[in-house]
Amino acid sequence: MAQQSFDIYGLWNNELLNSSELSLEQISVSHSNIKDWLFSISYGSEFSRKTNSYLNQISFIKSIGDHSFSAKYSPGFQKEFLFSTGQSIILSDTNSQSLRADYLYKELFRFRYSYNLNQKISLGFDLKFFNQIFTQEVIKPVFSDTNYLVIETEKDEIDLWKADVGFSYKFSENFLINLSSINLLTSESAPQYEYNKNFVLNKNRYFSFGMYFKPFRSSSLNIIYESDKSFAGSINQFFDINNDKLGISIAVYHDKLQSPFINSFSPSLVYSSEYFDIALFGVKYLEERKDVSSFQKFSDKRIKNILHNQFSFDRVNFTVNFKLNAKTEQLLKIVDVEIKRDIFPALSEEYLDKPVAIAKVVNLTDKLLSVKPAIKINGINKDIIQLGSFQLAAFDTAEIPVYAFIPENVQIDKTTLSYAEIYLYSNNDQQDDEIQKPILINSINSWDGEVKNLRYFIRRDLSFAQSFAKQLLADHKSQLDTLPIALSDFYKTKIIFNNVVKNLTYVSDPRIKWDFVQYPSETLKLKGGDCDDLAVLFSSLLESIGIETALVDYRTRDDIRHVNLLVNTKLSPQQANLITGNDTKYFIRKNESGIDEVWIPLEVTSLTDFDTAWILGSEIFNDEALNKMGLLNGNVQIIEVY
Amino acid sequence: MKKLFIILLLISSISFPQKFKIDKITGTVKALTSDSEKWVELKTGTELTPNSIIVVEKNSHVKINNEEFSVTLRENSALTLSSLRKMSTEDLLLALAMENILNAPRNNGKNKSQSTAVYGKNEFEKNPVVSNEEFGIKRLNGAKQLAENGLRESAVVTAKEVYRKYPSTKSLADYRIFFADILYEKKLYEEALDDYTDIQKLSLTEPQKEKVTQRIEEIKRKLAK
Repeated sequence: MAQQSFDIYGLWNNELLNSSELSLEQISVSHSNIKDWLFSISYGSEFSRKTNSYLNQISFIKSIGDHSFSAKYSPGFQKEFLFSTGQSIILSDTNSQSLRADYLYKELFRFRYSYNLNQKISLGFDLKFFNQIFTQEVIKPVFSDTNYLVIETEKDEIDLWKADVGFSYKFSENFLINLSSINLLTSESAPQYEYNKNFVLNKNRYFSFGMYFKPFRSSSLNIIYESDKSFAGSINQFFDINNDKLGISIAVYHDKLQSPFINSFSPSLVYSSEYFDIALFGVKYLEERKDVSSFQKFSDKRIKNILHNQFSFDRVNFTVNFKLNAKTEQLLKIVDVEIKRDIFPALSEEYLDKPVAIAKVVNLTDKLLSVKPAIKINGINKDIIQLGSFQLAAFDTAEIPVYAFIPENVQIDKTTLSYAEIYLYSNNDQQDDEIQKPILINSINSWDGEVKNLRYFIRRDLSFAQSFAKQLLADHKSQLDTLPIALSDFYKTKIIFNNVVKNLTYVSDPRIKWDFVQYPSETLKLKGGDCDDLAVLFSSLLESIGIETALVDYRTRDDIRHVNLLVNTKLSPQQANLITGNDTKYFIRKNESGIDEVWIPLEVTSLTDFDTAWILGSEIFNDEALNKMGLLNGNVQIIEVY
Repeated sequence: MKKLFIILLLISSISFPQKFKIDKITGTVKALTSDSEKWVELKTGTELTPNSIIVVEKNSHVKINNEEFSVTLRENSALTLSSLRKMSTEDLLLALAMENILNAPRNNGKNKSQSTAVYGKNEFEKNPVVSNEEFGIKRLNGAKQLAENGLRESAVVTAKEVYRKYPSTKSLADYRIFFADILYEKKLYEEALDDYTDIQKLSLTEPQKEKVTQRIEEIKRKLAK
């Protein structure tokens, strides 16, 4: 069995342990799960005649996007064989000394690079450096005045580089295969002594094929087969402990150079948390391993694996991984954002109900995430505003609405092309992604043509309207004082209307794409406006003193949209006779308590006087809303201001 | 809601006459045009607009023509001329649906400023009521005569409007039963059932009670099928 198929961690499926790395030996066994840095240190003991303990390896892995780099220094990956050559020399004191041969194999360094080509395919390249030191005592004659023999040590230091490649393919979240070369490219320095050629590490080319199958969420079966007819297999089982995982594994190995058929098994245990892993691994050989072997056996079979060969002993290994994450992991990704509507600053609350944009978002994780979209519109917002939270399933893509917050006091005098910065936040309140999109910001007087949105123009200037209306009514105090209270709203409406229209003229909007709506103070200052300006003015004045109004939107009258007003007199149907004997001039509407109230229509563009505006308003409402059933077919709509 | 959707699908452009001519008058017939608060006595040949109201006084009657038909109104009745129009059963359903729209309570009271209590005035001054039931009854008579002239759908719509504008007329059982019967005869059973159930709560004579109960049971049987 080749070195790379035997790991001091055991045989694990990394897919089950996100951001762990338990397959240091396998080339591109799977997509790298390391978020940023992983440092690993392992210490082990081998149980031969005496127990040898040593530092096995120190390694690190660095992940940059889809790239992963790792380096390992492994002082403990070594195997030493000490033999008597069978020759001896008689020393001068008649004692004899056997000659010794020492064979030391080390794997010192390893460098690996892997790349996640896409979500399915991962490629890897692996470079290892071995050092083989062979020393042999030989007897050499010394010819001088007196001929004698000396023992000399012949030392060979042979460097070996091995390069291999591998790739893995993930068919699904549950099934992955990988294929790796063994000894694809090797480079070895020539032994100084010819006889050492027989003892260098085996460099025959093979390949290994691995399958990682996860039939259940927390279990996996893993198999590695090598073309020299060796194989390893393992079962992993994980348990969730809060946000951490505890894994147990049992692996078995078959190697044609070792016996019996299943030559060893290895239990292993791992505890994996966000910041560290602890792994305990042991291997038990089923054949009794002798401390002493014949040189012939060593010479015949040689070894091709430093850690796991026919001369290896039972061992345990303890490893700790430290995971450092200096970068923010991206959990969500914005595919694109579509701006759904321009900004009309006057319609501030409208944007809390209707999204300004739709973001197409991908959950990059295998967990359910909260998606919190946020927006900052340049020229409108000083800060990033986060509104709403949505759930997005693992690896799912969804369209998420983005709502904007338009402050009420925002003042935009001219229509400008600005941009919106759209951000996505996830569970950790970390910003996962952002995108900029151009957006049109209209002036504070711009209106989207929806009559219901005139409400915002009515409400904005309410304090001005209130002081103006109160001043007007104060001038008519004596008249109002003589009226029954029930008629108060009707006559207040009449007084305000008659006093305001005296100074107003109807002026239509210029023919531009969007309507321009004046606030009440502007209409009074400019002494005129069109139907929506006048509806806003009168509604604002009346609402400011507690008189309920509703906008009436006529959509098809002469193909021109028109707005006028309904006013709640608060009279009951039985009291309607107090204001008119003509029952076609008023309409009954139920209030929220189900009580009937008398409403009168006012044509706000009729700037003659209140009575005329009432008559015209009634005629239009009777014809369009009732006789032609506009209220039913949608051509006429009554819109409450509050 | 489902019903309203079906109704919207059925929507047709209801034409209604734009001019009405007084053809023949006996006795006193007065009119109130939409731009006036003053009743004027009518003369033969006068032309009126659809939103005008005419009142036929006691011992009087009037014949009114428009482009499509002529109608004679008898004594003690009042009518808005726009209600003189031919409607189909579908048109009637549409009009009743619109009635429901107008009758639905508004749901906007939470932020309204409430009227404050007023002290120091007597109840009438605070809340005067001028009973005008007599005119409401004239309007119901007008609606009945629409039905008698073959405009039964328009009669029902007119009666519903009268009930809203003159609430005391809702307690007049004879009229209520008359117009509920029209709905029943037009096989608008659900609408008729609503009306009969409402009428059942009024103070009824024995024959009225018997008829209403019988109608309710009949309709329930029909609707159960």
